[in-house]
Amino acid sequence: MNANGKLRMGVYWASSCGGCDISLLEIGDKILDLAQIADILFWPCVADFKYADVAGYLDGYLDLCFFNGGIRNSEQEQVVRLLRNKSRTLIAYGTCAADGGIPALANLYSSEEIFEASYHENPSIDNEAGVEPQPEVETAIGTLEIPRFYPAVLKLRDVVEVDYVIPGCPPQADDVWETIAALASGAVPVHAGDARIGCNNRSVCDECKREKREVKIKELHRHHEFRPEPGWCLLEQGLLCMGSATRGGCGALCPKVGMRCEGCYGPPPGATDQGASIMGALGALLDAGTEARAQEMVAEIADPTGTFYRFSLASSRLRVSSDRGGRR
Amino acid sequence: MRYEAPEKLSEQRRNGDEPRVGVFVCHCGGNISDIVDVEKVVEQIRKRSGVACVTTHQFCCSDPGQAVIEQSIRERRLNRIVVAACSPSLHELTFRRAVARGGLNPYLFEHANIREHVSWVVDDRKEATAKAGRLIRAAVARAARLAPLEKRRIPIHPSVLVIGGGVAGLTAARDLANRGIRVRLIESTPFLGGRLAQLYKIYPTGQRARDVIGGLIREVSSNPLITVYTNAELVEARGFIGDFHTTIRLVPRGATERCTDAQAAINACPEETVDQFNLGLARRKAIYLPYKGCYPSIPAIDWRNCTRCGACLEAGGVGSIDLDEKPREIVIRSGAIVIAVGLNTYPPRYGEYGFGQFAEVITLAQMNRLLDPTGPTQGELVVNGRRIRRVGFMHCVGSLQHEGVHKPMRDGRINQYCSRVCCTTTMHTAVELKTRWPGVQVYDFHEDIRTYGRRHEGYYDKVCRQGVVFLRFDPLRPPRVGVDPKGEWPLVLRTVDRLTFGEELEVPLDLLVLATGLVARDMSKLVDLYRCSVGADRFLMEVHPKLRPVEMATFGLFLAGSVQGPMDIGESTAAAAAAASKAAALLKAGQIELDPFVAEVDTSKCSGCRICLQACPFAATDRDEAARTAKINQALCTGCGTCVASCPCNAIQQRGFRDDQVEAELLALLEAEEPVGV
Repeated sequence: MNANGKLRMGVYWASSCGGCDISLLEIGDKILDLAQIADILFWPCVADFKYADVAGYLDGYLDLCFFNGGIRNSEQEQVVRLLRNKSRTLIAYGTCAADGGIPALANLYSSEEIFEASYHENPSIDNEAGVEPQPEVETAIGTLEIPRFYPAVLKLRDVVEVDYVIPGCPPQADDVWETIAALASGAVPVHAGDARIGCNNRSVCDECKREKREVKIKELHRHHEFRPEPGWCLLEQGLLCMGSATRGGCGALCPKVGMRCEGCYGPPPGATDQGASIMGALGALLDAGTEARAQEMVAEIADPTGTFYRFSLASSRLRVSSDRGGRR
Repeated sequence: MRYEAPEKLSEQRRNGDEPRVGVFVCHCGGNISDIVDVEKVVEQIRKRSGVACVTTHQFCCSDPGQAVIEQSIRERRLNRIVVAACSPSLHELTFRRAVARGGLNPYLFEHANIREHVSWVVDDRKEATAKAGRLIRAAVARAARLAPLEKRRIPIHPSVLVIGGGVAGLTAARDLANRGIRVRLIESTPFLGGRLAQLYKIYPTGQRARDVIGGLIREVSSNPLITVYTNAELVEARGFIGDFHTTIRLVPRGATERCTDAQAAINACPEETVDQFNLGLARRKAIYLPYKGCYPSIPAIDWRNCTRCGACLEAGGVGSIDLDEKPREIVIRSGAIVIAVGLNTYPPRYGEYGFGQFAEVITLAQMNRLLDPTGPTQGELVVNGRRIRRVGFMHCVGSLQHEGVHKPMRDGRINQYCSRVCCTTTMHTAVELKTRWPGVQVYDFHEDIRTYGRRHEGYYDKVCRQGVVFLRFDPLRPPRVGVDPKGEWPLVLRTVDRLTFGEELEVPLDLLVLATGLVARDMSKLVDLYRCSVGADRFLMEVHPKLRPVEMATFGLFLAGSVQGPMDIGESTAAAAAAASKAAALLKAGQIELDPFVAEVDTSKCSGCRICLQACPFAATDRDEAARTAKINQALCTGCGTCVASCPCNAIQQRGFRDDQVEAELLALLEAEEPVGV
């Protein structure tokens, strides 16, 4: 803590979209309260800080570090290790840091396939020379290095020890403020062994007001082709709502407005694999009757991995096989 | 990746429950040790953490072998036991008992099968030894995490509900009551007797069907331990083995016991309708008795056709009829349930062999009504005003159907099975015809004839001697029914006869009898209430067709008779008697002991999503409305694990098959050849 009694706070982004940084601002006029209780010592997204600044701090100098995004390259790993040393409480902030998030869907492909798409195949690419980024390039002024691209996106706790995990894509502002306030006041311990905070200990169904009629799913639907009946469980109506296999805390935001839960808070407590959880449940819910119909229904699911593991592939049991696994 | 398994174990250790696993490897007198290098396996297993001792024995299942286990438990303070031997189906119970005698909870035991799964199926000694080692270390990993369990004990309510008042239901009810058991029998129609009452004579005794069923009904109706409810519909079913609560709706009969002159009331009724009992061959009043001597002998009102005009009320006398009585619901409590709802005859489609197009095409069941002297024609062989001289029988109508030849039934399926009773019934009916009217010419059109039963073949021999003409058709080119171009006969049947090597024949007939097959009834309500398993043929399924033929997968439910598939009367009563004795054995025990491997809900994790409520095939999952969580009925749970897999929050675990136990077992099974500790 600073001499002025304020928390020393850091924020960093790695493999993420940037929405998490913005979500910190979503606390609204509480941002003024934040300024009362914390000094920002590192937040590259909003102000000019250098890694060297952080490297110069004593270990554990930062009271609180919000780290959003997973680990996709060597630079991100380097920074998270640095921040781990310099932070008393390291928070994996948002779903990418917690469970890999959407970027981790790339774990279904090899680096070569990703490069092929990103630098050659995509229709918007103009790369006649067929150049690909190289980790090291010899130039007249010497060897230039860029961060190495890892074969898979890792969630934060695959790389460093994490004290808290705040899930959500992005986390909800109220919960974020409560968490900051709780940490500032000492209401919760500074280390909690990657405990989830700012969320519930039950699934989204627990806070969803939609009525369960205990009927089986006759037919699967997608949003663009189907208008669900208000007030009735979306999953029972055939929309692949992930609510039952997703940790609650958002207040069932999406189902409340008729959209299926996409599962951004990750698996519920006790479950280790979100996709396996929902697939196990679907096994009980699909009213197929015959084997052929069951196959037909399953075949109707567009992009099963993207549907069932949209946010949690990096924390699932679907591991990158050993020839691709780990860091290069 | 974090697995829960190691955590559980450390928690266990903190609780002072440090696993001390005793492993006993059986030679099985060479059955195992001739292939598996037992000593090498022992060396491997000895090194694993948690293993307190490894012992081998020539025959672990022998008395001395079991004694070694018991003694080791006491002397070496073992708290988990693994026996690597034969199949658990053979000796799991033996070793559980030995473990219990040794002073441990019998469920702190794990069985590794290294005989049927290893030495009897793997030839290579090295491979067999490696596989045995793998299976044993998996068993050790699992055993280290086992928790003591207790069997479930459930008291049994001393009464049985029998659903169905046909020959099977009546037989089951009588047999149960004869053993001193209280029985409640419910029948959906207003009268007992079922399909048997509609038959004329029955094979192989030639007795009048009505005498047979009448005797059985008298036994049932006069037994004070049996209560019969007619006009009873199933409404709801709750409960489980030992304590079923079945709600039934009793539809008023209309007529009361004070109706002394039933015939006067019937005669007074102005409404006429099709007589279902005579299968549409006659008409009856809206207030009716199906046949003379039926039970109950009080007439019933068919409310769909009654206009409540009150004519019967005046004719029947004061208090004879009550048109205003309301249906009432009662709850029947029972320890077991016998399902004997029977089946239907196949309804031929319009135009199938001319059925519906020609009045001269009838079913075998209708033929039975015609032969009955108390039937619609007083036993005269007259159809559509014409005395019959030439009769054809058509086999396998609605049975042994062929894909592409026969149109499927409403559910899209065809009936590929043999209905088993129609061939003998046809022969039996032909004998009756030829005996009563020797001048009538009989033709038999078949694809195949199966008079398979004991004393059934005699009917076939007899009709052959009586001059019945047999014609065999090609199932892919079935006979066609048309009109006689000369107008002499009402029908002409054109067929290709395989017995005369493809001769094309035209057979003029004045009656064609379709030997319609047997099909399952619409049992959707029953299936839904009791979560019965249904076969592809739509009949209800038993646990095992040979070893447990009258039990259903849901404990306490028994099947009696043709609800299970086509059966003749003898087979139905045999099945009913079996169901009755199974139910009686259950009741006489007073309580039952069930395996402890049930699912349980961790309410702190349950989010109340109700998915398990739909997953359970046995209706064992329920909801605690106050807590907004799931709960599982221990008596109904069969330990199938379906809800465990369905729960998205992992809030349901199955005792004896907890995730951490199964995961530890799997990890040990899949780990690299060099063991790295539990």
